Amino acid sequence: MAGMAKASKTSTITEMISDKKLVELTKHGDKAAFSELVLRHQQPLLRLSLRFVKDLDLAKDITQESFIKAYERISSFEERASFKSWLFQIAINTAKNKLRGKKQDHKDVDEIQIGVAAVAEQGLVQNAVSHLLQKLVEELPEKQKTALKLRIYEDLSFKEIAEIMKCPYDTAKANYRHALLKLKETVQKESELNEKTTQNWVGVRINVMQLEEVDL
Amino acid sequence: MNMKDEKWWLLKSELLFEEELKKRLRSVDPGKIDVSETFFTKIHQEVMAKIDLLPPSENKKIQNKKSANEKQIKI
Repeated sequence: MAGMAKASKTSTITEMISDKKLVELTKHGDKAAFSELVLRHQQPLLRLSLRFVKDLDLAKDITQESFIKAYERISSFEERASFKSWLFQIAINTAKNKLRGKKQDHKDVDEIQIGVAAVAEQGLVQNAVSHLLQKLVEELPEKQKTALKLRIYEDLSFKEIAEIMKCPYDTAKANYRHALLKLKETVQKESELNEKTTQNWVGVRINVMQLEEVDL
Repeated sequence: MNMKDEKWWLLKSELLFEEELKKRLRSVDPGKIDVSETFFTKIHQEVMAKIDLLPPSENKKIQNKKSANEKQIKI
């Protein structure tokens, strides 16, 4: 019991140490400090990687590689950004490298279209619309896509996004805004197209109707 | 609608679009999966094992670079 209490106390103390301090300790060769950084950031890093590659095994590889790269380069980390931003930057670059040459899977939209035609349940249709939006995000230019994913999924500030993307604050903000406007335009175009054609794509039509409710 | 109203309306509609987009994309977030604690334990163990396997020079390099930087600052 006393041992457990001691272990719990140690763990609480470790949790209280800032990333900055742990980085400093790692720079002095303290592997235990880096171990704590891995424990602290492995979940968000895996989720981030999954958002870029959509494959658990690949995301796991990216997460591990990113930590090892971070460890190897820790002495060059100048701490202008937070450790988390720096780590995210490494992971995004690693994910991009992994994806380069590996053709992305584009089957989802066709599958969704068939699925949507076959089902009338609102829940499933809404899910198809969300998948369509997800596909539209994947088609965005690289920088806009990265800015949008970091903002939408990670809820990061533009300052953090700029740090990760190694660009000025205004550029990060502009990339995000352009992505948003492009998506909005695409959704509007899809709606106009669907108004004109006799072939209904249920998903898009419902999407447009719902988005109209929010004064698009 | 005057210019000021129009601008405000546009901004409002963009914000609402952003909210709707957030809601929809998060509902199909590929990063939102249930992964067991064991999975993360394995990631952690493997990372630390690989770090231990790094050539000693790599670990030494980390410390040397740090000392070199410190010396440079002192100069």
